[in-house]
Amino acid sequence: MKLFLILLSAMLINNYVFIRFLGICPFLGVSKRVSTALGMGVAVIFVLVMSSAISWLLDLLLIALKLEFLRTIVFILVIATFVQFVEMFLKKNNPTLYEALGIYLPLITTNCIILGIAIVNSLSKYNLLEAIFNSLGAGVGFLIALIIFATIRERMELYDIPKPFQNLPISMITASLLSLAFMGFQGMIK
Amino acid sequence: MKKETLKISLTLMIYTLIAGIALALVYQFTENRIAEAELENVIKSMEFLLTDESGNQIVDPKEIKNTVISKRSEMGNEIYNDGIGTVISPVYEFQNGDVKYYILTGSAVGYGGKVITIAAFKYNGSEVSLHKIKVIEYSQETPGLGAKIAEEKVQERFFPIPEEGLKNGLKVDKDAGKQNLDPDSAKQSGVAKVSDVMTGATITPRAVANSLNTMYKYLREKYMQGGEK
Amino acid sequence: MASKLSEFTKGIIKENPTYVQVLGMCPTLATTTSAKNGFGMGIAATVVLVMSNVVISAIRKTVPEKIRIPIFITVIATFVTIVDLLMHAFTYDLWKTLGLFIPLIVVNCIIMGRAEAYASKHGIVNSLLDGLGMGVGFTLSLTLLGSIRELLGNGTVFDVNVWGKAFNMFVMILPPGAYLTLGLLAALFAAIAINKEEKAKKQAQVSQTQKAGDVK
Repeated sequence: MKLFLILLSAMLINNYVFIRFLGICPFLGVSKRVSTALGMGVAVIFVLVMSSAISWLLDLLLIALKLEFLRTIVFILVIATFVQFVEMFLKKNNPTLYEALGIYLPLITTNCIILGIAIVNSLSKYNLLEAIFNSLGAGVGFLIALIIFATIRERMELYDIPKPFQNLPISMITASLLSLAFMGFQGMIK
Repeated sequence: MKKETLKISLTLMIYTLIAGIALALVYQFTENRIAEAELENVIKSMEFLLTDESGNQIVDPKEIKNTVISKRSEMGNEIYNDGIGTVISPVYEFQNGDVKYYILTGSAVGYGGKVITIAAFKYNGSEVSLHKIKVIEYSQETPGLGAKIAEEKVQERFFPIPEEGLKNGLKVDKDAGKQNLDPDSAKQSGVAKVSDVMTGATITPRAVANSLNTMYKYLREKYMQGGEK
Repeated sequence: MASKLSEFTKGIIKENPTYVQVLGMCPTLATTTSAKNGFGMGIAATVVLVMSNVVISAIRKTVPEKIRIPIFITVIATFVTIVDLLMHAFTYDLWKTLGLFIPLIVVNCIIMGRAEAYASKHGIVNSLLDGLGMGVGFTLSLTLLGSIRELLGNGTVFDVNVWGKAFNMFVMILPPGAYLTLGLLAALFAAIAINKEEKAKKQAQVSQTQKAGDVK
């Protein structure tokens, strides 16, 4: 039951994009087309879950050796390595997606969601299963946010938006409305 | 090809090693200061807890400091868990005339993680009451919502509570179904009225109430067994 | 001297990392619940940015192309950890408030972005100025955003009472308010930039017709 709550919380109630503010940079850059958004979201979920699991294991080692201050460095290097793997894998097996994601693929490394979740898992002292569920929920929440956004932006391209508002401003205002909507989930867990 | 890979791996290892050494050095340099800063934080909180209604110190700050430092090796261990909240060691005791003050640290699960509260309980020989509290850990709560628990005016809704109110468990007004009481009458009946200062966030103040109940239970049980720890 | 100054000032308005380059969004929205928090975050990030720009610029010729990203990350992560430790030790309250977002400076795209786009290709002094300028721009953006949200949401700025409880739009301190304020400020910056562009165009046209007139 607790696992389900963690999953639900990470996904909707404490949605990492709209409520906790993690994962926003690629959010703005990749959400122009639903297909790219989908690809990015899945890639992020994969990197999230896998690197969280490995980081969790390494964290045990760090705590045992009293080297907690190396946490940031170790985690980020794990993430960078994973993203490298994903890059090589995609280049070989799905070159279209690889091209479409372009610069944003290596940028998954700097996606604050991934490092953020790894650190949250460590601070909240989750066990391995809880950590994985948290990462899964956050990743799915990110995917949901990304897809909703991409759908809206695809439509917005057809609208006549005043020049100062194009790109960043209108995206932010849209995000603000979505964030308001997601705050409605706050009442879900009493 | 192999020579290049070797060169690359070596370079990477050297850089990582340099980084590791640099960090170890800075860590050595700051280790003590960090421990002191953490300790100072606890001492400051306790100085606040041991003031009376007009803000005067009940216990000499020097005594507080010495007591905290003398018990620093005991800090941070979970000594009691009733499934709803936990009590964390150590328990501090201070005497002021006929009145004894017990300082307990407790935690309960809030929205995104643990919410930790330090509380001062007052024992005047016949009654145990809640004197003051300070919520010291709430970093996983939602900014602007649950994190409002950090505000003094919100925390003030949780004290002082007479034993009458503590006996049956402290509750937030929403859980007690008593949202129309004013803050002071609420306290008399063991209700913390927070719905007007923390709109839309019940889980965080509930965690505080839970941890206070666990601390009170522990204090009563330990005390009634009639002993110093 | 003029070009050195522009290396520094470009980060403040023309290439402002927040409103123009759209970098470093995560901490921008999360830590600007008040002017003080935004300012503190900005300073911490600026320190890391300047230090990492300088070091990366210094080692740029010795770093193999293939592994430059992991090495940059290691450098940045090291400085972030150092700042984290120092803040924990010496500025405890601010450290507690900024919490998770201090280690997250590592993935602040501004720092990685400047390392990749500038520091790895320019000399130490220029990299230092670039880092400083971008950092200042970032800090100003955060402080501005934080001040507005704090003012509208709480009636105070830097904890100084402006109109107190008289007018409080609570939503400003919440996530939606963050997005909204950022969007409107970005629109403002864009409007100013567009205005400048149009003026410059008009000037060019005027001088064109003048030239044509002279020739006649």
